[in-house]
Amino acid sequence: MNLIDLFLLTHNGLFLVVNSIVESTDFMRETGKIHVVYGVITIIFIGITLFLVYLERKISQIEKKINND
Amino acid sequence: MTEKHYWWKIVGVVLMLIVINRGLLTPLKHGIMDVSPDRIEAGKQVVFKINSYNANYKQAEKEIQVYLKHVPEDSKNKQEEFILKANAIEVINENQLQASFQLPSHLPDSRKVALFTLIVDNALDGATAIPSKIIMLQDSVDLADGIRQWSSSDKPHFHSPNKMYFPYRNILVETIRNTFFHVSLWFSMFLMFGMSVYYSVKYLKSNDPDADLRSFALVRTGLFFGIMGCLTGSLWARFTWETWWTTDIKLNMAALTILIYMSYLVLRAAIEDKDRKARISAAYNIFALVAVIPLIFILPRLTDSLHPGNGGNPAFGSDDMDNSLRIIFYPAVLAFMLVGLWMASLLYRSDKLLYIIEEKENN
Repeated sequence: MNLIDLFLLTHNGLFLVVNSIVESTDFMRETGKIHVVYGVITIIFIGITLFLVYLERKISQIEKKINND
Repeated sequence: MTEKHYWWKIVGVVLMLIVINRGLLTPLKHGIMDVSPDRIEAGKQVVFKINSYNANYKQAEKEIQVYLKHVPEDSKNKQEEFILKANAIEVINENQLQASFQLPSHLPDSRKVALFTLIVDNALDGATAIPSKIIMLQDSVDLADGIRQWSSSDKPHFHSPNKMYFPYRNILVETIRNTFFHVSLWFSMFLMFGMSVYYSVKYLKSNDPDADLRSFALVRTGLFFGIMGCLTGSLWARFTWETWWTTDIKLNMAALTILIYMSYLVLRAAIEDKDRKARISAAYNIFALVAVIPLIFILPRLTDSLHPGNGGNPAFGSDDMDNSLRIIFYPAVLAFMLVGLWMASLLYRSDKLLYIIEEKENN
């Protein structure tokens, strides 16, 4: 067994470790990890909602100032 | 400015709807998840059990072909490749099949060990490959005999699917769709920061408080996109790189970018006098962008990074992006930019109203 054989063996061993991680199935890894994509879109939607809350507070501030005059 | 016009907001929203629709509903191309055995010996009969994703093997049963391919690393002729066709295929279900090969007694390689790529082709799904997965050993080296035995088979014909598919990548799988939602956020962030610098320069030239308000609104929107980018990227990393945060250079530089712009907000809040506040934050903003460009665009390319387009290879090369992704990715970038500009214009307009009211109160 020369050096290349040894490299390929460890290389293969690494692949096995990676595969065993990938194949573990929990909710987020089901059906090709599609839930991760839903999660990302949910984060963006929550972000946009927080932006709307911020904007609403700004507009309330303007309304208050106008009504005080 | 055209912030009160509607057309570009409608364009942004329509593009966003198309991106969400096509980005989520376009199926993935079929791909090989794993093959066993992956260590084989020359000269023997071998039966591969192939596990695939998104395939239609039952429907395409008659037209499936399986190949083993080898490209010698030390070959002078880069085009040289050796392909062996499976002599029997048995379909188990839509995603599983068995392929048996009668392996020649010698490899077309001058070493005792060689890597082979397994290719599955059918008329319905097209061709897919698992590169350099199969390791083949031989007892004795006979290059001439190996080349002769491996060259005898006729040239294979690979099908290409007629529908649109996103590429299959191991580990990424369906999360390849995040390209549209996560990467576009960063592109949009840079547009916001870039435009805010334009208004900062304009403020320093003209001392017009309007330019300062625009610049401030754009920085806040850009920061919003940056934080969104970090959060979405962190979730994506958790299920592909198996950790929420790595020491990957691009992640840390992105975090640094966010800190730089956070301190912009702190700086602004800390100065009472309106003129000084506008002037100092305009100057800071220009230096911030100048500092951020090397952090994101230059440093990650000088070192290794998990992100595509780093460690020396060109961004968005053909390895990372194919045309089916590009056709959705570019509209996605435009959609996020337009929506970002809309958000910035709303912030600017409300700030402007507050500014006008305060001016009236003071007079």
